[in-house]
Amino acid sequence: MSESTSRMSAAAWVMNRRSLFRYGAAAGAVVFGPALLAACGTDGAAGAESSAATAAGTSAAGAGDATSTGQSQRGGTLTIGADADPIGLDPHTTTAFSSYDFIALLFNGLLKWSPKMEIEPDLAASYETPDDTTYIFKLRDDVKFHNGQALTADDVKYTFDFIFDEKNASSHASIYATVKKVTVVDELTVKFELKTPDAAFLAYLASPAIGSIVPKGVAGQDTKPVGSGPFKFDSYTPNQKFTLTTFDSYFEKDLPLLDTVVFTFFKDQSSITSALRSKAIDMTWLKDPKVAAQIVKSAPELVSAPGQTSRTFPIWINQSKAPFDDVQVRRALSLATDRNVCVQTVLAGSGKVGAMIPESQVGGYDGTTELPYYQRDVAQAKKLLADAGHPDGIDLGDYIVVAANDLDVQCSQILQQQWAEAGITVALKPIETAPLLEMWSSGDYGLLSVALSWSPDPDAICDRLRSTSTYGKAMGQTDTAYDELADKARAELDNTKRAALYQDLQKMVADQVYCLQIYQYPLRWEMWWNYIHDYVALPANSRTYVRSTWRDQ
Amino acid sequence: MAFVLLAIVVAGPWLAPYPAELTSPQSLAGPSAEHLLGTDSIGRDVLSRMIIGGRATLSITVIAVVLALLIGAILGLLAGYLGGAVDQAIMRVLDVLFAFPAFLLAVAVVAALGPTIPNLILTIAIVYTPSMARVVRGPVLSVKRWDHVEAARSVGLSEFRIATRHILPMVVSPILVETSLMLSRAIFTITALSFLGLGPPPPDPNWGGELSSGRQFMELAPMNVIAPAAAIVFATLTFIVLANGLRDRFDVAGQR
Repeated sequence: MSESTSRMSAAAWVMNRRSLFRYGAAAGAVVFGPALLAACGTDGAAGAESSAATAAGTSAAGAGDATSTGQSQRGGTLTIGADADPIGLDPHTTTAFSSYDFIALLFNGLLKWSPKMEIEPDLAASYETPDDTTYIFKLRDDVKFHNGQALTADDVKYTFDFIFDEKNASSHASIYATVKKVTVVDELTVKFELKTPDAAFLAYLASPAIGSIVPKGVAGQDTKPVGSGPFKFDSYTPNQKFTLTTFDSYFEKDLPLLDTVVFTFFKDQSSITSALRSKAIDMTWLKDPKVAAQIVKSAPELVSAPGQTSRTFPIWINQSKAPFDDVQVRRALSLATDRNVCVQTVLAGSGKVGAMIPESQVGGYDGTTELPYYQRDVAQAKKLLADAGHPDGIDLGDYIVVAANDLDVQCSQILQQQWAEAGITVALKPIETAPLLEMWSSGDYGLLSVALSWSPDPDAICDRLRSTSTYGKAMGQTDTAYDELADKARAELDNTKRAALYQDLQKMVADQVYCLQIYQYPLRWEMWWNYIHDYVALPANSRTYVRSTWRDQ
Repeated sequence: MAFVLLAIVVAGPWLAPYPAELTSPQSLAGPSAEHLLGTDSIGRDVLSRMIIGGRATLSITVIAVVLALLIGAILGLLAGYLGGAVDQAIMRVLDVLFAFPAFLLAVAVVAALGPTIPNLILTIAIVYTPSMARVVRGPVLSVKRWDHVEAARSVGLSEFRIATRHILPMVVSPILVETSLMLSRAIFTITALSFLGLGPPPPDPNWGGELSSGRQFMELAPMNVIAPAAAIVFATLTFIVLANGLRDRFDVAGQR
């Protein structure tokens, strides 16, 4: 009873805020948009009107500006259903994956990912590499930040100084560990010198947050971000909504097309899907491919982009704890696992058998080539266990999974049964995410699963098993041959050769079973109504193509 | 109704058409002849999980409530019959427990002990002991001044014998009613705890857990939510009806 009343009052409160916001936006258009007023005087007002209309859940659309390039239409609001709040908006201090989605629209990097996941220039007009360890970037001369400041090489230098400054504790410092020196050559030229050749360097520069360039001397990015992106920060109410408005001085010609982008937060998948059906939101992504496939099937007007597989489901095995120090036991575990059944049952076939590197990456595993100990063989698993001194089966204790991730919990239950058939028993322990991550990095586990999300470069994935990394140390990794191979692959600039090295690396992981990879699947399955156009889904965790998106008015 | 619940507890595994853990690639299927209530997110039979899950949920509830009943009745009898300092000591401690909302206390205790079945039983017992003790203490206070107690004492019977033979039988009816009401509340607490992920760990089914995982697929496979929810309502209702029946029969309302 009390819950429903509190919800009612919350709704009333939102309505109040919303009408306040409408006035605010209209006033904003008048104050900040004098240059545009002549061109599209009614546009600002119409845009604000339609934002209020769509947000209120009706299907009425505002009258948009007809004078647009080609057939695309300008104006309006895009409402996106989001599954997670950002945790900090400063691109170089946040560690939350969920923040990247917002940062990608607020900031730009020197480079960016194309729809085909190739690297292309963004803030850089061009770049050259005189030798394997030197990169020279020419910057565009027409870029402005949201505070009016123009982009210069100083901002790039400032960004990297910020990252390397220990007092900022930026998680990106280790990512750019190969960078020796960043120098300003002239106002629009910047030079990076690396210690060693690094195939991952450009990929990192192209990735949201990791490669984001911040304006020199602007503090408080965490709560009031100032970037050069197509949209600027407007307001954020935790657990409710996050509003972005169009940045008039954005450097890409005629972009962005939308007036406002609103992220609405939902706690669970079923409320997102019902919001999508009722068109309270125009676009969303779902984590569960089973549900996504069924939703898409039931609504032909939904455009769906399942995306490339960029996420894997591994089981981390702590080799510093008996009996996991015995490779026979680990191999038995791998042999007892039927990966195909997991793909069919948990993902309803919308995925592939996985290895260390997902298919969308350089050297990624295609899901069909046979890796050592991948073919299920219960008899052989039992034999290995017997050889290792466990003829009557073995109890491996707790298997820890993320309680909040339904797919993980589902898969772990199937694995538990499969292993039981080979005489291996585990007790499932779904726990909260934060303590689980703590266990992962401290090594306080035997078997533990955390899905690996998209990474800009396969090196970031392989790093988890390096004996020198936090996670590698925690799980008792000591294999220096692995480290050498991983280092060699990172330094290999030829993509074909690099892919071959990563294939070898994955065979090594499968053979030694340092980590048991089960399946790979799309990071998230994006979908939007067919009145939204020119949006492109990327396998990365960002929606950078919202900048070219427009909607039927 | 009670017989249906009893059947589920006693014969659950034989009544269920499939083993509760049996998965199949046919996930989130609707009701069919093969799966009467459809399947869940990894292709397990919803009906089977409802029946076997009910067995877990109901047995935890019953064991926990019996435990609460034993401890509560003993403490209530001691407090009421002995009175004085003993009464003060027992009732103040119980008051402390009573001061917390039952559910909050349950969440705190389970979170501290860890979600396993024995801990869950212990938690429910701890949470419901104070109310049982109170229900017993009240009538004991009045019954101990009745004539037959005085008579027993004058004959020279031991205190223990008086308490168990001459007072306890007089307060059985409020205890029965309270027990059955407590069952309905306890089943609610347990399913709520499981719903929040503090119940018995997977893959063993239980109603709260089924409800929680089914919620994600409410739109696609409504049976995943309806089945466990209906089961919870059915069980709770059964216990409440039982309590009302007992109350009418013993007419304890006047005594309380």
